[in-house]
Amino acid sequence: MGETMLERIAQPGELTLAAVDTVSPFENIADVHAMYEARVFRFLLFSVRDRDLALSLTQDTFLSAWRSRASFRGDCSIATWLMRIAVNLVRNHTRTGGFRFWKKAEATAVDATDLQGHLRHPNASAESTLIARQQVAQVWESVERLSARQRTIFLLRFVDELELNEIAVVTGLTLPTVKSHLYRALDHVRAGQGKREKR
Amino acid sequence: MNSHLSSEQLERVLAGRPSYEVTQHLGKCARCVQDVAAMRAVLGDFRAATASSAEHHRHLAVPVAPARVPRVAWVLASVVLFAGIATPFAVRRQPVQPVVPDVSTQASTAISDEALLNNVQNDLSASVPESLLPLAGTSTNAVNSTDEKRKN
Repeated sequence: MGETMLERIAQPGELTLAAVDTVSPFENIADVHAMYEARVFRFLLFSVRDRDLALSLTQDTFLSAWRSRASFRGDCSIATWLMRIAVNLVRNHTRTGGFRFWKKAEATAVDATDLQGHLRHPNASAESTLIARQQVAQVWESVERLSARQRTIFLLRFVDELELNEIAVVTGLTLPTVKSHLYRALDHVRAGQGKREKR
Repeated sequence: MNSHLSSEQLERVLAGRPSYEVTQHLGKCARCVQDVAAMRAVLGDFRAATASSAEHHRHLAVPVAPARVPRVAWVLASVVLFAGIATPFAVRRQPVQPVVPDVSTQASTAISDEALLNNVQNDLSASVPESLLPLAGTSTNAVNSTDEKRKN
């Protein structure tokens, strides 16, 4: 199994679709999980802002991917397919969980302080590190205030570094709609940075 | 291009695909160059911080157990479901009660039928129908009186 998976690796950290024609890559779900779990978890963590819930949804994402492996035709990358499932799970969860979900999420929220603590600038001065941490906190506060759709698109673009057409596939939106939401989100983040500088 | 970069243009620059016009503008506008550099640095830091934070939380996370429905609820639901399925069959299989004719009603009906037939038979055998009997006497008297007049 290891050799066949290695044959499919074109770039480090990315599975290719070369072998998709014959065997679904999701047949080797353990390998797919090992390769993409961190990425899917990161997106889910900053979407739902609760690590336990994010882990559950990550597991659900891979379970759904494996169950629907027959419908994967290789039209998009494995990462895009997984992120699409993850986005749908978040959408369903927020829709069905309602108020209880948000209440729980706030109880164990991933906040700006948490992000600041994970920013490492070993070679920078204490002052520039402090400024960078404040800027990151400001970005997160701006992201938190975005609408759910804008936040999803912003995270997919600037955290997961997906291309705009991939985001359109993941979210099921048209490309112009994705662009519109992304630019509005970027406007908010820039405005937040501008306010911080004025202070 | 007189104004500074819009968010769309900034995003294109950050993605590494600026238009010719924007590239020209960046060659002349120090403020936009600074904006692009600042935003690139901030978003890079944000990405690094989210990656590090996510990795930290991934090791601490405990999957949320799905909300369990109590066993009693399952049993009750099964009973209700079974009852819902079985009831129509039970109702359909109930034996149809044969209609037992009432003996007294049957006897009285037979008697009344018999009496009606007798009446009809009597009517037919009589020279004058029963309904015309009151007229029978009067017609005889009328004939007699006519005869007496002729004799006079």
